Amino acid sequence: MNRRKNMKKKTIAIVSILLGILLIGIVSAGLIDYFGRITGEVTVEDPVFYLSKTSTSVNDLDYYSLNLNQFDENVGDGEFTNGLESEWFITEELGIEDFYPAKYTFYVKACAENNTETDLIGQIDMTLKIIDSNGNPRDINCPTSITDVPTVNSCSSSDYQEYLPVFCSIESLNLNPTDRFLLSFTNGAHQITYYIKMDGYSRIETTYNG
Amino acid sequence: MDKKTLTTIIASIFVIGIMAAGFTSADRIIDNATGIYIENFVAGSTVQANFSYDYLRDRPENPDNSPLILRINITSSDSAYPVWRGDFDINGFIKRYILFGLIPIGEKHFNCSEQDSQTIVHPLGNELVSAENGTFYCYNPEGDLDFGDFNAQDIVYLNITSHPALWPGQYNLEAKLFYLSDTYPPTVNILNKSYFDQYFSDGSHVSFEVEIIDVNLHDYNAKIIVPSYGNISFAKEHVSGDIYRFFQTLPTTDPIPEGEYLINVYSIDTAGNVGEDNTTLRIDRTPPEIELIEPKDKVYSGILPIEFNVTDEKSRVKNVTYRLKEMDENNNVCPTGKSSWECYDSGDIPLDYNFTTETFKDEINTIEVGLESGRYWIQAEACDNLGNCRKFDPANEK
Repeated sequence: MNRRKNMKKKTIAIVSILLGILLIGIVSAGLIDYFGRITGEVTVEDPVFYLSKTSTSVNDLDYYSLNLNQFDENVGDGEFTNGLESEWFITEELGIEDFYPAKYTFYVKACAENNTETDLIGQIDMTLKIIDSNGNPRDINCPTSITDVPTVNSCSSSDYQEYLPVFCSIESLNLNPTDRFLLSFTNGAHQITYYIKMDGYSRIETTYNG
Repeated sequence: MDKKTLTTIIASIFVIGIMAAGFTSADRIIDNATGIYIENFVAGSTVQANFSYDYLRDRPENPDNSPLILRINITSSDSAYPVWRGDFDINGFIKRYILFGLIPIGEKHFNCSEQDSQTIVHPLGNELVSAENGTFYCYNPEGDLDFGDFNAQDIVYLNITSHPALWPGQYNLEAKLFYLSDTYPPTVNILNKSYFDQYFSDGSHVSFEVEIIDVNLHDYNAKIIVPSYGNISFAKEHVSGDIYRFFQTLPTTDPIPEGEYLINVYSIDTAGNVGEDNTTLRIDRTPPEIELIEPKDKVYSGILPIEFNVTDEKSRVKNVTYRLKEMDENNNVCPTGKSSWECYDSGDIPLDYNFTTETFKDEINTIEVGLESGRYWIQAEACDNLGNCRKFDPANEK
C-alpha cells in the first residue's frame, strides 16, 4: 500500500515537471515557430542584352540602348560609317559591383551599303566596354569582328543578314554600381555605311564561363 | 506495481511530454500545400512564383488578429556561388479563396525585407529578427494578412526580381509561414489622477476611470494595497470603447488606517502581457484641531465672545459648533436632556468662519439671551469634510 502511494507521488511529480517545462517553452515564444514549409527549385539563366533604338543618356549624351533580357520593341537601325564614326549601345546602370567570368556572344543583323563604285567587302568591329557615370569608357579586353560583310548599293529590308555569332571571354569584372556595358560598333577605313538592325535579333548573350 | 511497470509509466509520460511539445508544432502543419511553382528565368528579370495552402478553422496557436508572416529563403545549389544580400528583391500578395478555392474573398499585398537586423512592426506586437543573405521576411504592417478564421485556401504570389549578374545556375526556394505573438502589453492610463489629490476616509465612495488599450485584452482589475491589512478590490464596469470604471466604498467596520496607499490598476492580454498604472489613495482619519480662544477664564458682562481656532490640514474643516451650559456652585454642569434642575443649555450652536481673524467666532448677548450671572461651561465640536470629528471640553484640556 505504501509502495503504491509513493509511486503515485513520484508520477505526479514527474508529470508536473514536464508540464512546467512545456509551459515555459510556450510563454518564452516570440516569433512563433513556423507551421508550414513549402519548397521549390528554379534555374537562373544568363542575362541577354538586346540592341534597341531607345535612347539612353549618359552625362547628357544620348545613345542607343542595350535592353536587359527583353527587347522593348523599339525597332530601328543604328548607322555608322567610314571608320570615323561609331555607334554606341549602352545599358542602364548595372547596379552591381561585379560580374562573373563570362563568354559574351554577339548576334548581329546588319546591312552594309557601298557608296562608291568600287566593289568593297566590309568588316564590322565590335568592342564591349564599360562606361562610367561620367561617360568615360574603359576597355575590358573584349574586341570582336564580323568579317566578310558583303555590300549593296542601297540597303533595303531584304538586304539585312543575320551574321554568325562571334564572341569574346572576360574574366570576372569589378564594377561600380553606376557602371554600364557599352557596345561600340566601328569599321575599317572604307566608304561603307553600316546599318545595324534593332529588332530583337541583334543582341549579346552572356554565358557563365567559370 | 513493480519497477518495470513504473519505468514504463515514466517513459510514457516523458514521451507524451515530448509529443506535447512536438504536437504543438504538428498542429500547425498546413494542409494541401502546393508549390513553389516558378519558371526558369533570366538573371536581371522579374519572375513570379506562387504556392498555396489551406487554412483550417480553429487554429489554437493563432489568437485573433495574429498576423501571418512569410519567410522566404533563396539559396544557391552551388556553394561556390552563394546568394548575396541584394541578389533578389521580393514582394507579393496573397489571394484567399473559400469553397474549395472557387470564390475569391480578398487580396492583400505585402512587402519583403532582406535587411540583416529588422524589426517586424505590427499592430499586434513587434519582433526583432535577423535575416541572413537570401532570407526575406514578408508581412503586411497593418496586420491583415489573416483574412479570418474559416476554412479557406491561400495562394501566395511572389514577384522576384533578380540581380543581372546573378550566377546562372540552380536555386532553391523555401517558404515558411509564421505567426507573430503578441508582445505589446496593454496600455493602462488612470484618467484624471488629480481626483486622488483629495483625502478619503471610512465610507468614502471612490470612483475613477481608466483607459485600457489592447487588441487582445483578457482581464483587468484594480485594488488598494494596504500592507498588514489586506488588499481591497474595486468593482469594475466597462464604460465604452477603451474606458473602464472602477469603484468601491471604503470599509467602515474595519476601516483602513490613516496613511497613503497604492492603487494599482492591472491589465493582462491573452498573450500574458501585463500593463499597469498606479496612483495614491490618501486616507485621513484625523479630526480637526480645536483651540479655545474666547472666552478665557474671566468675568464677562453684556457680550460674551466665543472664538475657536479650528484647523484641519488634510480634509479642511466642514463645521464647528459650540455649546454653553450653566454651572452651579458645586461645579456641576447643566446636564444634557431632562432633569429637575432648570438650567441653561444653549444646545449646539454653529460657529461661522471669520475670514479676517481666520477663526470661528460668535458672540452671545447675555442680556438678550437672558443669561443670569454665574459660571458657564463651554464645549465645542469640529468635523472635517470626511466626517472626522473632535470634541472640545475644557475638562479634557487641563
